[in-house]
Amino acid sequence: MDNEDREFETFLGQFELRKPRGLSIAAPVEDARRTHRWIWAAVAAVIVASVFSIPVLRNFTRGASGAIVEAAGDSNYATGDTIAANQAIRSGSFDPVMLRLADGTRVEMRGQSEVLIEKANDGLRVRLSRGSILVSAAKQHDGHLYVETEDTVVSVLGTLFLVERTSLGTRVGVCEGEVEVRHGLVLRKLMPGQQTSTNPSMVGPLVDAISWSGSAPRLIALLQPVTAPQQQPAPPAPEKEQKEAPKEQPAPPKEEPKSEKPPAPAPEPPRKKEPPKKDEEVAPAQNPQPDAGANRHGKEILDRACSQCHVTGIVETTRYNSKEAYASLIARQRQMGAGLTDAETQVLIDYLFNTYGAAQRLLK
Amino acid sequence: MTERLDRDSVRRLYEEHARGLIAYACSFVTSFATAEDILHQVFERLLRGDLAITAAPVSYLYRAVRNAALNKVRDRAVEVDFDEGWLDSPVGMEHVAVELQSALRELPEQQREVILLHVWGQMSFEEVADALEIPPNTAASRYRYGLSKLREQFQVIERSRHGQRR
Repeated sequence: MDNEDREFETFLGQFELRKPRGLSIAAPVEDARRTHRWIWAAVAAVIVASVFSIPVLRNFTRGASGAIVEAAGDSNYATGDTIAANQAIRSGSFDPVMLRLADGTRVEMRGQSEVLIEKANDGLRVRLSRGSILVSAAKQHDGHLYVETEDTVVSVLGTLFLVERTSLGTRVGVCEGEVEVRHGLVLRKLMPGQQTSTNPSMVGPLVDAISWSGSAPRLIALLQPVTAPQQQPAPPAPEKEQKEAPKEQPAPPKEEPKSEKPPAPAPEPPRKKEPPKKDEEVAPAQNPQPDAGANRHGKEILDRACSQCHVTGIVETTRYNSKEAYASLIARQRQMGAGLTDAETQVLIDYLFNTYGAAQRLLK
Repeated sequence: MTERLDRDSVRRLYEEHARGLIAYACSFVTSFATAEDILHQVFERLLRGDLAITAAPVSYLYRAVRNAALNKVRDRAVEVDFDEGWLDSPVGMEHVAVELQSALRELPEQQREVILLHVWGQMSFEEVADALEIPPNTAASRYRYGLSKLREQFQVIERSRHGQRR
């Protein structure tokens, strides 16, 4: 093996095979045990739903997986209409349509949108063909709720979220709760304020994407705690950093970005502020904390350069033991096209290590 | 001579070989959940006595997984499979894991299975040879050629993706 192959072998070692679940051998099992379990679970779910959801089901003339029109807008439906499952539902040209599903989930469709409601093996599925919907998911007790487009599957974990489908691709943004988004082999979990898309050009401020909704003021208010940190006056950045790479400075964080760049996802900023103070009290000598300006700069770089391709909130779970490991990670991202200068790279390495590195975790 | 195994023996076999077996199953299918199903089907059949080990258990298990996987692949047309990767990647490298798995699928089966067993099944070449019933030198040779080809294929995919982003 030559050196290149050896290095590649080392590179492969960074990836681990997922661990299989344990083998249950407490009782004899059938070949179709997995399938049978789902069938019985589905039957149980239907029975439970029948017992506890009679007032809802009574309103459905056919099937338990269709929808009731709660607000028709300028569509061809009337308020109170029942739409059976597996039928295309189209909103009008301008006004939103509000649907209520059998499980209590509400789906608000923007104008010029089309969905189809159908049963999934373990719950309900909303297929979005085009347009945009806001889903206020009812609590899922016995089944699951999925929203699908041509290229994306969203698994609902009790949320309020946006799904947008255009010819460019699919965008998913979360207002409340969390969702899992699957695109091909990639699985992401999104928290409030976070968004992802199959095409970077689709990403923009969530508040703009939901402005068409009849509940826009309430939804925007939901997003405020997440976006609030961006509105706070930024601490003055050290002059040295500004001189090093003035052309690369991102827009001031207190303004909503007008470009296609996504807002910085920061699901729990209030809680984040506390640990650093504790760290400083516990072991200031062992892990000297960088100044607030450097931290802010590092986070700006992370949000600008990294969010083009993926959600940056996942960085919080990266716990490398050394700056070299972070350097390797960032070098890899630069190879894949992340727009970072050498100076920004060093700032980002320091920021990630000082904020999320394994040593920091031990202090928290 | 056939050998029907008791539950404890089956459990021990599972604990000892699950990692390598699922790596081997992943060489045939694109979904980790499907690979898990294959693995569990084989062991469930062992428990029921539908499969009886006639010779060395390790190579028997790998043959059983291979047969089950090929049957699954043949029947895939009726399944709705949300492809999920079978690699856990460092944070921020999810796209790399996707590219890696794509590159692995481009390899010849013989090279792919050896790479999976050696790298992610963490098996020595002797153990790989025993499982696949090939000489150890053949296993090592397939690994070397496969690794080079994988590296080249991975770079092609990366360059292609990089070009698309620009």
